[in-house]
Amino acid sequence: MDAGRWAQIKSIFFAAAGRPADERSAFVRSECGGDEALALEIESLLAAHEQAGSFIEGFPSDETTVALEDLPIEPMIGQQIGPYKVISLIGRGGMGEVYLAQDSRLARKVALKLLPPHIAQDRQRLERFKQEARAASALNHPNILTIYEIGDAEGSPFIATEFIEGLTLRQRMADPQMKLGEALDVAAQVASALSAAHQAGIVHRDIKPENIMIRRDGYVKILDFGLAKLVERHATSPEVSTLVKTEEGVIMGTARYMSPEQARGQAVDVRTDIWSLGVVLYEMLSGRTPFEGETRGDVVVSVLEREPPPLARYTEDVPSELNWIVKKALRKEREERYQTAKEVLSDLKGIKQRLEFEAELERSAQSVARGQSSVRTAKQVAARTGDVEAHTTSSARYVMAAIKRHKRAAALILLLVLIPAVVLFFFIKRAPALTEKDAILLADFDNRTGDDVFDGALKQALAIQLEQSPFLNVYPEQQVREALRYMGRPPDGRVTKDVAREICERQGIKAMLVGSIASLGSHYVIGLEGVNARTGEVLAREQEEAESKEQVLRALGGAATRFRKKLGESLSSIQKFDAPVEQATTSSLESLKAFTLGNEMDLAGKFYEAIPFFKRAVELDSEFALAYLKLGIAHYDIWKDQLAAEYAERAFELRGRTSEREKLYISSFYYAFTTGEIDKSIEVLELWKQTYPRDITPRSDLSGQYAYTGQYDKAVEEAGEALRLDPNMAALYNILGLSFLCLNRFDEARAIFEQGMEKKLDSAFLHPHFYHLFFVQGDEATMQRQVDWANGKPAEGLSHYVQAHAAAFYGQRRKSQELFRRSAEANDRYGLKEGAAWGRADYALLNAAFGDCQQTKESAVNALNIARSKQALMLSGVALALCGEISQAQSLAAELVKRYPKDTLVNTIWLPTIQAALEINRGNTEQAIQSLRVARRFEMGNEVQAKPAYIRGLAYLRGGAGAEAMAEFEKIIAHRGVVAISALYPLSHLGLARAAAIMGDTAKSRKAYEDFFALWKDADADIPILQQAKQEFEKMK
Amino acid sequence: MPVLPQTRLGRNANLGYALYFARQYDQALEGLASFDSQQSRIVELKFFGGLSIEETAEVIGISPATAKREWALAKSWLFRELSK
Repeated sequence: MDAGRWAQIKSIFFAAAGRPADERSAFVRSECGGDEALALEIESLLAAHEQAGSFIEGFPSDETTVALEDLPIEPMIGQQIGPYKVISLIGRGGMGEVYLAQDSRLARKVALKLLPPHIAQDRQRLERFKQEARAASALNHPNILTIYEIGDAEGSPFIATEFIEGLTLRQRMADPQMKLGEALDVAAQVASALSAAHQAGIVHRDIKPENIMIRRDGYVKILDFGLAKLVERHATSPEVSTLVKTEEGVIMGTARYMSPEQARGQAVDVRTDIWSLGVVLYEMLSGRTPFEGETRGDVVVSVLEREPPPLARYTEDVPSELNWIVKKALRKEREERYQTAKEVLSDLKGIKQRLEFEAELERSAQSVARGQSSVRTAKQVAARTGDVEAHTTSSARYVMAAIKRHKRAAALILLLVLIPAVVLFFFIKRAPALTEKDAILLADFDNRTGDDVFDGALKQALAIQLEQSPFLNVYPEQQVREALRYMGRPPDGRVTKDVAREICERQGIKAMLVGSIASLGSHYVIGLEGVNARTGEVLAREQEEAESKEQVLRALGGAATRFRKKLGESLSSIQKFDAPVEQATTSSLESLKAFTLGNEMDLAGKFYEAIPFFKRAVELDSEFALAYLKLGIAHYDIWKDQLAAEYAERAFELRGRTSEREKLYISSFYYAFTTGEIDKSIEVLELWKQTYPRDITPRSDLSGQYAYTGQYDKAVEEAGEALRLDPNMAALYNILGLSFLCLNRFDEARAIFEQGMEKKLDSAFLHPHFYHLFFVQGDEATMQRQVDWANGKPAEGLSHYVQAHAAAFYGQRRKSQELFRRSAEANDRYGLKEGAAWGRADYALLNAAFGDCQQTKESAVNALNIARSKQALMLSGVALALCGEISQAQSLAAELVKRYPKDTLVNTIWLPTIQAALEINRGNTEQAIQSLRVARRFEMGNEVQAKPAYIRGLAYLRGGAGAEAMAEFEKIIAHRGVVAISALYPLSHLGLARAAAIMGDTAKSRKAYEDFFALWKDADADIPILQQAKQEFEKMK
Repeated sequence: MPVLPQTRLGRNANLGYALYFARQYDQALEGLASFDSQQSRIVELKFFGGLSIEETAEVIGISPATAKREWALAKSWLFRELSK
């Protein structure tokens, strides 16, 4: 695309964005003239914007995911609108932007609201709105915003009103929770304004915290009278459903304040405003709205059907009368509600007066009772001055005095009280709240601080803290997301208390843990509550206060530790597995937040997108071990091996700062990947499995490691157990199917592969492994399907690679070469250099086995030029050694030693095999066999695929040891599944023929030759080893 | 055929899509840069650099409103290219 064309696209795109959704298409068409291609381009971009959602968005707090309508329009600053000169933007809402402007005629500041053009298209409605808004303003009520002018500037309507310096109630509530008195005061002023408006026959219809302003001097002003009616149509009529969709956020906000009659789309009256006032009051008191839900639909259902949770659940000091007022305002049936705002006002005033009176009393009581015990609440004061209950409040003091008088008797009484208490204590202790088998689900934190740094981060911190415990069975996050998907919810949706309960019900989880954080001045209060999901019974409760934001993680850690004890974990277990979270993980909340977001992406399979988040996490805390590990794994997933190894190493260096489980995770990855010490990795994984028997990662990693090293029985066992824990883990089908294949249990392998396919868990690897299986079974149609599947995908390189081996299996060298070439090409296309080098090196080794050293050398050089990867070095090293390229093979071996000094397979398989091949060339067959002794342990592993056994067979042949050679080749042939598509399978038949010949068993030899020729009936005739074999066979006749 | 790394450390992951995305993403971003270098720079700063819209605007020297608009279009374009 050229820049000029792009500029054209941009200007029309932005202009169209500001129009109503249903007009965009027509607008674009007219702007584009007859240029159909241009129009299509812009329309597809507009559509893409709607679909893109949070695609590549960074931290959600940026809030850059906006509806097209909300994209900033061309800057208005400095422009003249009628008599008003725009000074600055004050705010932006669902109904247009609000600017601070100067009225040039009266030299006063005004707030200027520009309505989006589409909102005011219905002239009749606009007129009605104007009338109503003017009428409300004309009431001259101190709590109703005064409108100066409703005008029209070039087709765009605007409203000029008095300019208020202050905060909206929404902004006010974002700060620490409002005090009771302040909330009452705001509610009373709103009720007063509503009362006046209602008497004039005007209904607001959209009372919500955004429409209530609090002036600096405490005066409350209600905004936007009549406006709701103007936009109602746009929110509910079906023909503009796209608009509703894009404005979901706006409407969601409103839905929480919507009355049941509004939700049903019925006509509304003054009692709707009373309902909304009730919601606002509830929110001011508790910090949350009474009717909540994940989606607009959930909120509506809640409004229509649910009773709000009692206020006392969220706040302690709400007088019962106030609770009653809120309840009465929130009656679903209009007839049962307050009928007028005036009644609400008078009830609110009543409480206000009583509280003020009590406060007065408290002050005077304090001055009277100075020097005596301090008096805490107004209620106690009232009780004392009321005289009646005065003695009961001091009964404790009376008992104490009595005890002093009769010490001995008191001791007895104390014992009598204590013994049952102790017995009870032990009894309770014997029946812990949870047992080790009960899973516990973590709900998202209820964050009432308004500071989004706590979102996610606290849950992550708590998870890390609790997951240390081998006692607690924390339900895995991955499975929580899976459950959300089944429930038809977005997998990254919030797990509120209600959602958590539903997940528990569905998944049969016994308990859930609900955390909360609230701010109390500059302090924070963290609460943890363990709830029996079925009965709602509270199993344990913990609370902890943090003096500052920096102390929150520490406080959470403390609360979590005590919580574990309450749930029934033994003290010794807690002591052993209780690294403080602020040390174990990170002391930086911001860093933890970035990590949490990265983790969420990672869980959703977006490895590439997760990387910047993990990077940010280690930027913010350069000693955050787990974040380094995650960076390592993410890079590993996109084949940046070197970087991955480095990150894993950094994590390993920092492992002292981690919790027990993190340490196991980091170490197992580091040993497996950075150093390649498989033995150590397996050791760590086994320890992990024992310590945390419910964890899936050690089992799935163990199964992989066991398959990798040829211990297929163990691989089957671990993968099977892991699958039982999580039947949706794609990689497990792979490992399990492959292990069955390598055990020659073909039917079971097929069943597992098919299960994986059925569950749509077919990863890039499942299909190529499938191909192996069907190759062995000779099912060509199904083989072809695997090939077709991979076309056009990143697995294409792998697919060609597998086919190349299959061709080589039949001795079709040219075809094989061509497929290896295509494989390299596809791998290169997807940036998989190492994959490309791997294939070339494989081809080099094949040619060495075929006896063509010219091709071997060319391919080896080729492979190493693409990438000096571990595989390229290993395979080329063996190939060149077989061809007698001593110095080259030795230099590759030296490079392997230098780069992978501790790598198990390099040391036990590849270096000995290179060594053996060189010795065979020198004629030292004894030494060759000697050096291969160490290779026996892992040589049937999936990575090695019997190569050392084949070389050993060659060494025995060369040394004239027929029986030993025969044993080696027979062993390879018997491991049909391991050498499924390897040319070593047919070549082992040839080896067997030669070994039998040495032993003088002509019949057996002849049979083996014939088997070999049958397999190679379509082979290229120019392969040296085939020509030799034919000559040998001729001689036998 | 060797088991590839992904399988070896049995993660519940589909390597294919990540790679596919990475590769396509780089190409799409190169494409965008060829006719709108500012937009591709915004994407780099915001997505890879982890900057906020405001910070991005400051680095480039444009207003946050402009950055927001340019970002929205760049995102739409990339999304469409990657969905093709």
